[in-house]
Amino acid sequence: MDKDKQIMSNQIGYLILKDDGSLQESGGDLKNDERSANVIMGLINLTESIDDNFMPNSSCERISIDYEHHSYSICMSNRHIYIVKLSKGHNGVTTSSSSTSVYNDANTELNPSSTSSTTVLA
Amino acid sequence: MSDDIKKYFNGLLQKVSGLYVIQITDRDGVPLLRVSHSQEKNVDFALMPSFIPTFTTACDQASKLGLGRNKTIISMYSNYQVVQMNKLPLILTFVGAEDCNTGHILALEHQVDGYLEDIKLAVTEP
Amino acid sequence: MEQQLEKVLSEIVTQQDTVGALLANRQGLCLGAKGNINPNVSGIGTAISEQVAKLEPNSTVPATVCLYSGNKRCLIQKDGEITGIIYKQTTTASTSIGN
Repeated sequence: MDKDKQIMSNQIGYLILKDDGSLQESGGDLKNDERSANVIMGLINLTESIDDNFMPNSSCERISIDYEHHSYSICMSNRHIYIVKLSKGHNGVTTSSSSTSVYNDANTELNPSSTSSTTVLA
Repeated sequence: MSDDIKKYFNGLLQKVSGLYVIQITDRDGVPLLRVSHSQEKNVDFALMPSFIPTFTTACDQASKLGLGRNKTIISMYSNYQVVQMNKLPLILTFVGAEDCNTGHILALEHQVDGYLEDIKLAVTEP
Repeated sequence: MEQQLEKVLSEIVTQQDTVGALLANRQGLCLGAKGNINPNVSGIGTAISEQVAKLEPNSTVPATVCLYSGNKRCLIQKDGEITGIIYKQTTTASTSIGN
């Protein structure tokens, strides 16, 4: 994996997609994983309109998918879709707060133009 | 505008996996809009002259059960499922695979209402 | 017949921050709902869980999906025939994260 894209020690793969679903960057477990990219694009399309009374349409800013030993975190920002695959450490789980911080870091790392981590979270 | 509506319904068709056709007709079965997966199963039966009038009749009969006006009829077959909605003067018909997500199709109902209003206007205008 | 189901749903909605809970079958039809949740969500919820199941088809343990929007969360898990959907809302508006 590209060393410069390794943001967390427990990161085992990442994907960066454009909003049309085309693969822009990838690495680790998810290197050139177009299949996963397509599945996730399908998932994002589905999440656009869940329940207008609970979550306004297209207001979902982050999606996490948790498995027993690893998890995915998906973030939409700046017309791009960032996906990281994280392994769960021996001592416990990847908590939601830690994966958020990954994303804030990831966005600033990957978008040199971004000035602060709070502005990039759409 | 027609292109807009067609595009929207094509999007819906893509969203629900296993859905073959969405069609909008009047109560006699005259097609107003139809979107389908060209490569998928042949579901031309949904446009047969007897198909929609049969639903209209069934719907009218079901309305006489004393439970109020009938809104939707779901028909399950070994290879297909057909969901028909009474949106008079329009009839909305969905044809999908037997294992298609029925709940998802039903949830589309309130989403399409806005678009149906446009078509209704076109139908009722003299 | 659905007493067990009702019991489980009642238990879920008494948990902290839980707004509503719903169970759906494979067809995306609502089996039961408790709390403030629209039964029509069963269809899209099942669709999401089926889509996520495609991500790792070989996984034996079902994945849990969580959608975040502000202080609201929507949890979806599919186990075999049944999909469960839970709405959560944290009361502290200062942070979007809470457990």
